[in-house]
Amino acid sequence: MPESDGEEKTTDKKDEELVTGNSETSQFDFRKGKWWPATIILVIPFVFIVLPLYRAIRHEMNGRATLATILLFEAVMLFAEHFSLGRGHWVWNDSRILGWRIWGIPIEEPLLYYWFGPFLVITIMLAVRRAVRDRRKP
Amino acid sequence: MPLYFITYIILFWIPVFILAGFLWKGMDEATRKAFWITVAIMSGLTFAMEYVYIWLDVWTFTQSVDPLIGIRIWGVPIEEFEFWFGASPLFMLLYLAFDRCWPNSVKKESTHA
Repeated sequence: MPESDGEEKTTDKKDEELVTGNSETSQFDFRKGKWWPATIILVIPFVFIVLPLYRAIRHEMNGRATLATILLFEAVMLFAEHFSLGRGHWVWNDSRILGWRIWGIPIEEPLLYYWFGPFLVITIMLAVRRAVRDRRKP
Repeated sequence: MPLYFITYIILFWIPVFILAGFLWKGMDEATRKAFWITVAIMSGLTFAMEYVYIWLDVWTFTQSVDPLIGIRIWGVPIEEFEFWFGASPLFMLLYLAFDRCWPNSVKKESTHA
């Protein structure tokens, strides 16, 4: 947990004026710039990549295996990110996230990033495999 | 102790090597090739996206509790790439492991060799 013995404590050299320990939440605070939801906006281009790929491979995607991968990753990452945020391994900028948090974790992590990441990777892998197999067909 | 580095070695990289050890021999050539191509695509993509997120100040790092191991690539701690480069193979291998446990009944071509 952050070593915040008072109200605030400065941290990394580079972010000396930006990152502060929060004794109430046992987390670090970082706020820089005007608010806009970068975490959501930066995912949008990937939705346009994954949709056509998913349409192409949806019949060969094993839904149960995909769901199990996502649920396992969600479960592990909830604990892992809670741990990492508490120790300042990385610190979210409050001006770039939606603002709501679950267990100290920005809500877009469990509701978007934890499932979209595995889904994107699995979709790309299956699309590439389909392309490889199609190329080999006489 | 560099706990950021250690945590994701344990959570991502060790399972990747264990799963790969179990699954690799049974994978057909197309799946193996798709695995490596996807690793390459995702490594490039996540490498670039890391700098986009940093450039836009979406997150930062502190060392007030746990030190970083000290290697940085253009200012970004190597732990970030350890995280991203470990996540993609883990997703694929987990999927392939679950796919082997519960084969897709409508799938026409098998994953296995």
